[in-house]
Amino acid sequence: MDKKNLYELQKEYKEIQIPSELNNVVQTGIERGRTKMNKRSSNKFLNICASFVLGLALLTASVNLSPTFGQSLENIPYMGQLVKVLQFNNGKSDGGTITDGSDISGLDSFEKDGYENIVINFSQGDMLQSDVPAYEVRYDEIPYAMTLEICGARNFSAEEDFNKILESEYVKDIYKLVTFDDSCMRFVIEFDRPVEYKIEERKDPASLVISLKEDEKVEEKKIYSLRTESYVKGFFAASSEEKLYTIGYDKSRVLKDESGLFYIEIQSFETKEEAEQELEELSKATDIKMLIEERTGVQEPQSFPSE
Amino acid sequence: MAIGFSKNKLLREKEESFLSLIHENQEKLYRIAYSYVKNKDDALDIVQETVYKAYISYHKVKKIQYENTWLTRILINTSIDFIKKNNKVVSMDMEFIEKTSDFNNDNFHQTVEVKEAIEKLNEKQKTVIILRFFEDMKLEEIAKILESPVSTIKSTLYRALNEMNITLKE
Repeated sequence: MDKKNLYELQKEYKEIQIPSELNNVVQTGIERGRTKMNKRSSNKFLNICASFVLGLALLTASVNLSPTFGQSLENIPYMGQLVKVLQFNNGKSDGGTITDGSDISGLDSFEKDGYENIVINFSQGDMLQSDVPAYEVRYDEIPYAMTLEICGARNFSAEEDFNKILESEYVKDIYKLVTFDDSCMRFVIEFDRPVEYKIEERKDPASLVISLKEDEKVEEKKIYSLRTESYVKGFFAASSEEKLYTIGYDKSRVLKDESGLFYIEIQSFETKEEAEQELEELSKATDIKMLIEERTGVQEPQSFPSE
Repeated sequence: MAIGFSKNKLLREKEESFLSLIHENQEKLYRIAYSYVKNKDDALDIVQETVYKAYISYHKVKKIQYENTWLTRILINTSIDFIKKNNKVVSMDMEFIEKTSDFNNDNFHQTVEVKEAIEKLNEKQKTVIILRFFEDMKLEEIAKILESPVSTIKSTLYRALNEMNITLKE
C-alpha cells in the first residue's frame, strides 16, 4: 500500500464538513457541565453541614443516653454504672459485696458541679475489680470525720495517694487505722469544717465516690467527749477498741489528736452530766483510762499521752 | 471579602481558559469523532459528551501545556466507549456512498480500499492512524494522549500499517 493513499484520506478528513450545530452542541455540553458543577459544589456545602449536624446530634444523643460516655468526656477519673446512692441513718451506711483479697488501689479527687469528690478504686491483682467490697461508712461530728471500713481487702496500695486527697478543699487529714481483723482495712478522712456528703457506689469497674460540700447549716456547738488517753502506738488504740467492743461499746471511733497520736472517742454528749455518768458506769466495766474533754466545732482534740 | 472575590476571579479565569480551549479544538474534536462513527449525529453526541466531561474535570488538569492532550484523550475514550455501546449499529457514511457513485478511477478505488482497511483495524490501531496521518501528530504526542510509551505507539502503528498492507494485497 501507499502512504499516498493515506494522505488522500487525510485530505478527505480535512474536508469533513463541520456542521452548523457544532457550536450549539458544544454550548449544551458546557451548560450541562456548569449545572453539574453548581449542583456538586452546593452538595458539598450541604454535605458538610449535614455531617456536622449529624455529628453534633450523635454526640448529644450519646452524652444523654449513656452516662458512662458523658463521664468519659468530662475527664472524671471514675466510670462504671451506678449501683446505689447511699442512704445514711444516723450518719451510718454500708454496702458492697463479699470479696476477698481486694486492694484499695486508688484514691483521687476532683471537683464537679460545686462538689469536691473523692474516688476510691478497687482492684484484684492487676485487674480493676467489678464490685465494691463490703464496706461500712460513718460520719460523725466534732471532729468532723468519716470513717470507712472495707472488708475483704487485704491491701491498701492507695496509701500513696493520700497526698492527693489532702489537696482537696475540705480534707484536713486522712489516715489509716490499725485493724486487728486482717481482712479489713479502715481509714479516716477528717474534714476541717462541717460537710454535706453524698456517697455513690459504682460497679464495672468498682468505685466509691464521695461528694462533699460545705454544710453551712451546722451550728457550732459544745460537746463533752468521753475519750481515752492518747496512745503512742496505734496498736494500743486498736487493742483498747477491742476491749470496749467486747463490753458493748460499738459507737466508739479512733481518731488522731492535735499531736498526731491515736485515741478512742467513745461517745460525745451534749451535757457534762451525761458524760460524767457514762464515765462512771464505764469505769466499772473496764480498766481503760478515760477522761472527759470539752470541745467545740473544729477545735482539735487535745493530746493526753499515756505513760 | 477579598478571599471570596479572588476565588471567584480565579474561577472565572479558569472558565475562560476552558472556553477558549474548547473553541480552538471543537472542529478537531468533531473530525476525530466523525472518523470513528462516520455519521454526523453520533459525532455531535460524542463531542457534547466530551465537552461535558471535560468541563466537570477541568479543575483536575494541573499543567496547562497538557490540556490539549488531555482533551483529546477524553474524546478518544468517549468515542471508543460510544462505539462499544453501539456495537451492533452499523453506521452508514452517506458522503462515502455519494462519492462512490460519482467517481470511478483507480486512485479512488485504492483510497476506498485503504478506508475499508482502516475500518478493520482495532480501536487502538485506528486511533493511532487517525492521529498520526489525519491530525499530523508526532508519535510523542500520540504517546501522551494514549498514555503509553513511544515505543508501544510505534509498534502499534507499524503493525497497523502492516495489517492494512496484507488486507490490501488480498
